[in-house]
Amino acid sequence: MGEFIAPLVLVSIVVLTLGSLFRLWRLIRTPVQRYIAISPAPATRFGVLSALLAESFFFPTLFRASVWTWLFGWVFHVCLLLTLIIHLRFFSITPPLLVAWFMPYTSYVSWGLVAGLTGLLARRCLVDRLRYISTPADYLHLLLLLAIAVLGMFLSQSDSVNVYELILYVQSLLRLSSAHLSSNLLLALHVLGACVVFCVYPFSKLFHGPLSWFNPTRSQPRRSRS
Amino acid sequence: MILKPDAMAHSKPHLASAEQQETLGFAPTLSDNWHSEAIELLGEKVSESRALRVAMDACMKCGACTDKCHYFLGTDDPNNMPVARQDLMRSVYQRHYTFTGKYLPWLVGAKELDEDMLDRWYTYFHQCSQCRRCSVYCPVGIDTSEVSMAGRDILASIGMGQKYVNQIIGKVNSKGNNLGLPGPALADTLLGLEEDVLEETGLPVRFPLDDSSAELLLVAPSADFFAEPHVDGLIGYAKVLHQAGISWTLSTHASEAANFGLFVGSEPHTKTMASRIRDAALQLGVKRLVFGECGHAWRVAQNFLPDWVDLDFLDAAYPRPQHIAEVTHELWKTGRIQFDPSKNAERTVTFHDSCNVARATTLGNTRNGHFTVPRDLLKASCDNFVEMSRATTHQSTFCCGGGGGLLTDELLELRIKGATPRMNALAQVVKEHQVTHMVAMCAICKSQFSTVFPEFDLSFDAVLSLHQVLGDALVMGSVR
Repeated sequence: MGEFIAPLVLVSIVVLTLGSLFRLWRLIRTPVQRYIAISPAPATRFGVLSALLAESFFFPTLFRASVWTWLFGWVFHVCLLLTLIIHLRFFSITPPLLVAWFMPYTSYVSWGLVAGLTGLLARRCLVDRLRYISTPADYLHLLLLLAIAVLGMFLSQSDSVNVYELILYVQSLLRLSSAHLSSNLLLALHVLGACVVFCVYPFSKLFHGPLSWFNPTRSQPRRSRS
Repeated sequence: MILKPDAMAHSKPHLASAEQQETLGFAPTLSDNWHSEAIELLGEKVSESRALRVAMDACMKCGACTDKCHYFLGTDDPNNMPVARQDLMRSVYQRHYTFTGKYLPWLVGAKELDEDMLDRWYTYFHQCSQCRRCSVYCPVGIDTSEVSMAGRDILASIGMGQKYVNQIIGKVNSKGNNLGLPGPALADTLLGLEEDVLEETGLPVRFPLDDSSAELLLVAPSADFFAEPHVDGLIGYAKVLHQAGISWTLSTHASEAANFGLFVGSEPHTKTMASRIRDAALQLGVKRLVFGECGHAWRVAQNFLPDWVDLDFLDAAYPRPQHIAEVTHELWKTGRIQFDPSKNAERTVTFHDSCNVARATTLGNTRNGHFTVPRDLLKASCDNFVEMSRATTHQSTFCCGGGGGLLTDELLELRIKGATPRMNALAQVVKEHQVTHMVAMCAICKSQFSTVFPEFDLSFDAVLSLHQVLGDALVMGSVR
């Protein structure tokens, strides 16, 4: 199965990288027309940076707007970050220290991921206001991520994957070749799902994170009056 | 809350006439090519404005903004949810400018700009007062006002301008103010005010017009010259400046602080109108430029004017345009004027933060000056000051319901419904703290509230200008 998956993975990583760079390049090239910061804005560039960092890690704005959306959204994003970190274990036989530190919590993290996504999906289905603005893509993004997360949870809790073999396979991918990988339908679907997300990410609303850093309402510091 | 889709689909402002359109350089009516013109303009606008590009690309439909717009809260029409308003433009943008929108429109909800959609644009981009309350709650800071401004500019450009706003821009260009008030009428009005104040105070408080010996040019919204309660605010400015011994003047050429060009999102018009102010200041040879109580005028003056025109002729101590509230605050802080709050003993006041001041500007040189400066002054001049619910003031303030070029009679139903969230907060402090007056420092807020108050069992004169309260408490005469 390794030969079958390898090109998909490599191509989707190229799409992810080039697509993201293109989106960022096009955004940065788009001029900021006017000073439109939402006041009170931070007084300095450093203040703006801190606010954007805080926003990216804790979502204080969303917290003010809707506590439930914040709860599900934040749990999902934090668990996604941890999941990505934990996935670094598949790059080396002895995991890096940070990764090793998080590995014992894998099952909590995957439950958090599933719970966050389920909460977001439930809100989208149950709250009239959200249903009104939702398009098929909005549901599909959540369902896709949910499917990947559930598959990943199964895989991490079963013995069906030979981790040693998988690590050798991942390392072979880094050399743009393809080592042997035993057939495993769930793993194939899990990886396929991830490839779809990689390809969709730069060209969809999933790219909202990087965009938020360049929004003139938040990225312009307060102007001195003198 | 039960959603009522299209409950406000009937509410739209009158279209501008072909003549009004042409005066402003817009297409007189829709041409046969309106669709391609609109699509092309949309593409240009998105590629020229980062804020608009983020608005088109970054919304994850999280719903944070859905219950934040006063027009949605007042009408229950889901098309007035900020995200839905943006979607009117986003769906068309996606249809023509994104891969998924072009080839899989059903997937992302991309839509064609057909006649029905065009009608929705005109309807719902004119149900946004561009107050930016929603953007305060948006996790990625999408600014819906940038969307509705761009939408209106496209509409106007292809032949669907709004009558009220177009008319006003035309009047400013020809007469210098929104009212089309000619110079002699203005001089006459000001003379009348001098007589009134002389009678009231026994002091020769002047209202100078085009006085080239003055050091300070005051640019007030033209409503200040005749409307209630605005004119009492103008009297307040005059008293403060008189008492401080500052030589000041008004200008005929720039007898308007407001800038309705902003509401259409038309940068050329906004710039032309703003430039009149610089021209007047240069002509009169003043050294200071001060703006009266007008929300979006202050936004333009503080954020755009210094980028657009050269203001090097201003005094080095006051190199930037100032707000009259800042001037008064500084005079009070330095002891050059004093207030006697007993003069306002009969009043219990609350303060309505006007959207443009609260979310687009600052006052003084501190982070929260735009919140603290008016409150400091109010508390110094009136012992009975009460805040409305924190969820409806400061950065979270509700729009009055009439901003952004919607202050026109045919939109009265929308204006009343849109005022509801503010009125509910006011009703609470009226009930609990016997508040008698709500103070505002924006001409549109004042006009809107004096119109809609009677609909909510309040007297039309329960809204006051900030500088009316200050002027009433000002200690006049030789006290220094």
